[in-house]
Amino acid sequence: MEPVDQNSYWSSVILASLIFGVVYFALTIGTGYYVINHQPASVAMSPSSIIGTVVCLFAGFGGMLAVWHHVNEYEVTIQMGRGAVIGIITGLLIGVISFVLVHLWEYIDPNYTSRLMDVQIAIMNSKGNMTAEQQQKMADMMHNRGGMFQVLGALFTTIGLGILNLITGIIGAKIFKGDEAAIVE
Amino acid sequence: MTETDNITGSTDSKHLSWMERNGFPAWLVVFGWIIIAFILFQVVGSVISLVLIYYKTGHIMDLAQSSNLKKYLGYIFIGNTTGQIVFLGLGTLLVTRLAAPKGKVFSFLGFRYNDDIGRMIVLTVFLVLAIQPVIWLLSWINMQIPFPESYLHFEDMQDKILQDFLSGNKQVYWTLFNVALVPAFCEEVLYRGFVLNTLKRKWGVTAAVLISGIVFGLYHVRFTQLIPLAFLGILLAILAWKSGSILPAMAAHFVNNATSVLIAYKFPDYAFSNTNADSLPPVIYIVLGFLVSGFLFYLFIKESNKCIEGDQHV
Repeated sequence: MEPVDQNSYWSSVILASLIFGVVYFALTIGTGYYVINHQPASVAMSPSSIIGTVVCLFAGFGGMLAVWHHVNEYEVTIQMGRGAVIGIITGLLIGVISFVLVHLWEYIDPNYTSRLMDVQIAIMNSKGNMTAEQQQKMADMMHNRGGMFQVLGALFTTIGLGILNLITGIIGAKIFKGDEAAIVE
Repeated sequence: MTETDNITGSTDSKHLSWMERNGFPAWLVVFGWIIIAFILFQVVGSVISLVLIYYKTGHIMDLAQSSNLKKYLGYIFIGNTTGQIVFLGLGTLLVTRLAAPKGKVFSFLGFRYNDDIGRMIVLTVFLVLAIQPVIWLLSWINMQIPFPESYLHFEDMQDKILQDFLSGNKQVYWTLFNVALVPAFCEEVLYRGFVLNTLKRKWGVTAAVLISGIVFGLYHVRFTQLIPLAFLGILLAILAWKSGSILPAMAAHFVNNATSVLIAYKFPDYAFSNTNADSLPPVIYIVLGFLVSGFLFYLFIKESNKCIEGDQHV
């Protein structure tokens, strides 16, 4: 019968998601301030969007870290499915932790979100296609329903991080092998 | 017993699927694939629509604008249909290879036909027609939930675009293909084939039927129709489970969607004024709907039990 790891993975998951959640939050806030201060409004592929993509890809390695920690902690070899579970939970937690921290940041800088939103509205306006009336409507909608957009954005980000970390969790399970003698039967 | 063994209750690895042999829990495979398939279907469908529109007009259109949506709905249908076939249909068949025992993909999904199932298909066709007033009542109940004005406006805009397309569209067979045939095949393969059967092995029939139905309702991303769609999803799941075949659910799904298309095509004023979810259906319709569909459902269950007894006897 195949050896199956039954050890609890929660300590590895929480550790990896805390590390990556805090780093992801720091990079998100950093990118946000970069956009607020430097965003060239008419450039389609700006440095900030490239940084944003890199930040997101970086956060995808939380699952791999959690798997590595779990394998080393118990000196076991785990199945790909176990790696996937560890990865997806880590990814979802990274999304939740960074979302909570971004909200807490608003106590430190209450104007952060509204300034970021103004820049995003300016970027959309600079792309043309919209009349002045439509631009005003869009700006009103984003300010009035900013909270809803933030929650939706966080939801999509969390799902994306979950999928990314699921993949790296599977890769981690294939890469990291524990001490064969210590495999839990 | 190991986690792997819990999935099937079997310890013989020859009868386990790839997913089970590698320790993937059923919930992860089911919900993971639903989310990934949904994202891929939406993204690829939109890209195909944009490419087709660009090929036709030479311009990149903003499909978020309602005027563009209305003007190019035909191309959006092509993108949508292609996305459904590739990801919800063929993609699910591939993923099922991982979730089903080796060489049993089609039997796992419930592609099974015999004379008993033929009779059950006929019953489900009448059942789904008879149950329409009940679905209408559920739509009305759903509309009593207060939704934000902006969201209702968004759904109204979608309905208006669809109404214009269906009532002005002369290519009824093409519309039936896009709106009835493809969803009946692809969505049934995904929900009543893959989701229902994978969850059933792990969590039992009741949970599988309820979850597959509710997820089917949520997947349409129309919150004013969530209750009737989830009800329909649960009903189709029961039909698939009791018959042991996906075909009755496919037939019912096709008839349900095709009826909407044909009514909109033949009687557009009636389809988009009298039968909208804002108004309650006449009481006599509701009573008749409950009685007739209840009777047909009873006949269906009786037929399926007979079929099971026959199988056991053999």
